[in-house]
Amino acid sequence: MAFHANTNWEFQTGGNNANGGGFRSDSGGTDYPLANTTFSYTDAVVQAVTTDCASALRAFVAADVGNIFNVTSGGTVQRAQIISVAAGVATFDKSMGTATNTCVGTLGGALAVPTDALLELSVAGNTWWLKGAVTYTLTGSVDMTAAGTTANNVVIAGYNTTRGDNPALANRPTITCAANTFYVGTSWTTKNLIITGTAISAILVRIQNTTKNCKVTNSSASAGRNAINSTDSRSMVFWCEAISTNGNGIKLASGSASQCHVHNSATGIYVDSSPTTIVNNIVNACSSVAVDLQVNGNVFIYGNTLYGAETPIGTGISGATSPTQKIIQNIIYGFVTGINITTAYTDHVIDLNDFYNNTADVANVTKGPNDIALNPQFVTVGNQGSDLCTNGILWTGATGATPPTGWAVKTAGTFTITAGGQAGDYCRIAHNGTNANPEISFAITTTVGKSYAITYYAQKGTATDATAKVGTTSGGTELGITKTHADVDWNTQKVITFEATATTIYFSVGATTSTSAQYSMIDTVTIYEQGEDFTPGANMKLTIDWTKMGL
Amino acid sequence: MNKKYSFKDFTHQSFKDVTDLVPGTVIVGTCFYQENHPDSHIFPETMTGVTFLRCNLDNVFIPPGNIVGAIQGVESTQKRIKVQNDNDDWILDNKLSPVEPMNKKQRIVEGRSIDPKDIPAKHFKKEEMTKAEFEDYFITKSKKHQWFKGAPAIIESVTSETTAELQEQNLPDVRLFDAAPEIVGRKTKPWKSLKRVEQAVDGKFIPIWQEQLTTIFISVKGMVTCYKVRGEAWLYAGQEAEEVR
Repeated sequence: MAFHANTNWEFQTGGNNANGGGFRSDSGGTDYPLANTTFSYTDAVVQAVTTDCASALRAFVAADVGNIFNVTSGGTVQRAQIISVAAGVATFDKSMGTATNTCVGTLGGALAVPTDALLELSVAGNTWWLKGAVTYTLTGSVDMTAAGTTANNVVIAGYNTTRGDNPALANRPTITCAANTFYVGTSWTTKNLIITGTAISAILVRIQNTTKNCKVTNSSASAGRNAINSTDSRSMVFWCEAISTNGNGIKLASGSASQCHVHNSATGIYVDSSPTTIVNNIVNACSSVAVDLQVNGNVFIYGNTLYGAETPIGTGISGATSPTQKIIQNIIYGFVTGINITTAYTDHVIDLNDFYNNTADVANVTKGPNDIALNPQFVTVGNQGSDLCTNGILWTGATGATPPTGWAVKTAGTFTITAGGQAGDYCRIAHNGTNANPEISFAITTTVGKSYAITYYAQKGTATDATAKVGTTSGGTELGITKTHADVDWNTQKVITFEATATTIYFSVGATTSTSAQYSMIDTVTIYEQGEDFTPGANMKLTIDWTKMGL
Repeated sequence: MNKKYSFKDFTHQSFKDVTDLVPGTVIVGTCFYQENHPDSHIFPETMTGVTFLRCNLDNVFIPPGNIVGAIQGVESTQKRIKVQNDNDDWILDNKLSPVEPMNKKQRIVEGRSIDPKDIPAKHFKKEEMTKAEFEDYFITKSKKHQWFKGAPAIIESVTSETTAELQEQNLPDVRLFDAAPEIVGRKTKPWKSLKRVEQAVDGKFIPIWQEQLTTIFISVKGMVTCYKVRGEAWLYAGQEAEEVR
């Protein structure tokens, strides 16, 4: 027999996965998992009616009703829920074994960390609570086949101090997945969590899912991995923050993304099936594309702020052609190309958008008659404060084995200020005859959670290529950012954006070479904190006049 | 329990130079995962007497003299994991040979092999796979695609021209992708410059609409966009047109 639909399960860092872990909220008993109260049994004897157990050492009491007993030996090894207690005898929801078996196990108590086996116990209506602004480290993959129903989702939710307090930002519990999958089942709601990982998808949600108020980061060094992967048209990603360092912040196989903040990713929102709705999101600091439509079908993109950079980068909306895409009332700002749909359809609806500070507003498509070009006057965006890289232009101090002032040697080399840079002199990083792959790093004082942008120019020189890395250690790639550049001119400015995970972040540059005197070239390094308040100014009042659009 | 090191996410981070991991330190519930680098030496080589309980130590080398164990009913994990040629993360044995995919349950549901012998010999740049490799790797998948009339085949490098002729009531060979392929190049040409145009009567080009779980590209009247795409594709060998617009 399955657990009751109204069962709440509890995870706490002080819990134990050998505890019962669950409690039926309408049972009239006491929620032992919530308080992490446990009762250990060594003598719970199965009665003639095998759903009944009795103990001489601790008789069952009325407060036990609704709690779950985890039997680890003696009887049937399982979790069983108490449905009633009479005269010290507990009646469970399932047979506890053979009469006279002596069950050993724990009644009540919170669980310690989510596992596949535990979450597979779910039935529709269950809620799995994770308590506190603490880290829950997965030690195995989670991939749910247990399902909720449309009317009764299974919920996995974080809370800070009181169930249902809907914590925000760093007050949410963190599930650290690493390479483990965290894939939830059909009709689940995932909310109020921070999820980090490196798997193909840090979180994958399936049919009829809701993902709400979660911050999900995929820090994999592999390209194309997803932070949030929503795979069904009836699923919704709502009010979430997504980062995938080298992949897609949110991948939508239809469904919707709304009121999300997607940033510091290669691609912000990637769509590969339809119908899809992308509404009221902020997508910024994505190095390649803000919204990538690899789909032919109904896609509605409405009311989003898509921000590249003050010096335009990447593409705002890119992708396959379709006559049924509607791109309405978005702010599209700071891209090399604002919208690039590969083949124009005359019945595209692209209108009432604000295109500003793009090198080209559109390619292959035509803007609508009511599109505007007005500075949205965001409150705080782009570079903030002063250049944090204090010696990335003049390169003073570099000579021989001594790096430029302010930079530290990670791997010894020969460092030379050389004429002919992108602007003035550049820094040459050369093999010193002894050490392969010479490298220097610059320590950036950062604020955890803030976004930063590094711009620079690099040429491979005579080396195999020039390298650039961002990490929490000198020469490290802890943020999953490693770049190699084979440029032979200064034509292309490089841009790296990242969200700081520590108070010191290192930007390291070097040369890939094992040959004496071979060198790479680096110049015009700037590092700025980025503003992310995209509230538009009072001049931005994009009001849809539907009658103008003939809809 | 050491509060500084317990219940933290230290993914990708190194502690090689720290001095406070002294004998008697107990670390609980922390992730030290090092992506793609099995046996990473992230702790001081001289570290001894440190206990790791229900920690994620995947790809982390723990020097001798320390303890990796369980607490609260949860073991620590210390697997070797690396991306293989199929682009998935696999658990490795101590000879660094793949044993089992990290997304084992998902692959079973999808009918994908979990046998390491089915990992492509070369990195899964699909355009480089041979037909035999493809069919071997996706043998179970091919059974799910009964609606294909033609035998599925891997496209090595495609310039996709998704056109069809209304007059002859047939569809040309098209390539259908299970997922959107990577576009590695594209350009739009007048249709007269294309090879198939010679067969066209009225120059009408029709969209070929998205099929279940597939993505294909559409051409438009008068101009044809050629995509050079890279991805696993099924060759649909052409059929009589049944329903076209």
